[in-house]
Amino acid sequence: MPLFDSLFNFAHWLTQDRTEAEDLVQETCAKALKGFSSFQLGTNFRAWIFRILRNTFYTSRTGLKAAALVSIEEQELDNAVIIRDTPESVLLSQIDIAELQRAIEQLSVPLREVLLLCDVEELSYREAADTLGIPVGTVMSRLSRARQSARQYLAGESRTRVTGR
Amino acid sequence: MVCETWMEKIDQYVDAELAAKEQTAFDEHVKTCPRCSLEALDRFKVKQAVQIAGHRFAPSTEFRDRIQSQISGKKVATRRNWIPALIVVAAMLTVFAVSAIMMKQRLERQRLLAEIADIHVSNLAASSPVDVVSTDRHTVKPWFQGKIPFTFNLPDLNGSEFSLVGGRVVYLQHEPAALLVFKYRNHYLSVFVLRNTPSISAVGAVGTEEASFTTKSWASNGLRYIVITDAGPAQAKALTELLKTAAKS
Repeated sequence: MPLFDSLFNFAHWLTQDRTEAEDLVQETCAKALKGFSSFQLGTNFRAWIFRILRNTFYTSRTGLKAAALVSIEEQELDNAVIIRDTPESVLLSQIDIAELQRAIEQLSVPLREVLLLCDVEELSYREAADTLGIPVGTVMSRLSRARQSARQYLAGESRTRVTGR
Repeated sequence: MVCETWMEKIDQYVDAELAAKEQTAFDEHVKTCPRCSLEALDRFKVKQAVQIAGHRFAPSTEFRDRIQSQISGKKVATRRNWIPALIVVAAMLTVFAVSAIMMKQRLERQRLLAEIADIHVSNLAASSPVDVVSTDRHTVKPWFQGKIPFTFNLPDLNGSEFSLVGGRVVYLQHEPAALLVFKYRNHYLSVFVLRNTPSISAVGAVGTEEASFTTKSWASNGLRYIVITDAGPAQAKALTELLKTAAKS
């Protein structure tokens, strides 16, 4: 079950907890088996099963908490001005994977999930939009913000390393 | 189009989400714009790093076994419907397997291309991009004797627009490789020659244009040749033909 690993990885990133991730994947598999007839052949299977997992997450206790935060954050995000970053090439030249993982952890769930779907699971904007139930434009703006936040976090960490503060 | 307009589309460019025509126009732009080129490379790097960092959590063997046994258990419980359930499981497993194989191949190819681009860029940025400096193929080829576990032919560049700059030994996927540097006007072309191991052959045989570099790759006589340059597809193709002819001679 190779996609099983991807589902678990995504679930763990969402829940930030191994036990909750296992429960989430277990429920997703059960729902997928039960509702396989609703999967339309010719459509994207990955997007379909990730959508089930994500929808299941948002009905869990952790997911409901995240959703409550989302509504406030979404307003802030929509009103936020996208700050185009200055070249950080030197600081980003040696990316520390552990630091990058911490940067991803720091992201809010809406930004984290879009980053994981597009960059880790390699879903297209359209597929990510179908999975998340949001317009393609929102996928693009969230992805841009997620990467921007990750870059800023990494740049900040690099500066701290260099200056020792 | 001004840089600011391109910058707004840089994420789509990095994600290969632009329309083909626009993607090509962006390719052309980054060749002449250091700012956009650096920014795009930077973003490719972060995207690739996120891809690696994102694969962080793996399910335990116990959990995997539990899910598998539950699926089997369901089949017993719904004995009357076992055939559709089996078909569903088989279909899911097939889709899982095909998706995983395709994803793995794509990832391996992307990582290899990124490594090739990194070596090409860092080598050209070095104070001396070659260890043997000569435009004479009869000087460069013998220099590799005893340094790499294979030999290869270099093309006769007389009458062509290319000139040989020299060569050095580098390592690609832990394999020793001859790195040959050619020049076309003010552009440099790096050519990697190494044994065609399974990990190296993941780069594939087709030409690609990624991160504004043109890459061409092919296998001949058990060796893998990879050309990478910012000079453009026509120049990469012309040098490829010269190298292929030399390999046959």
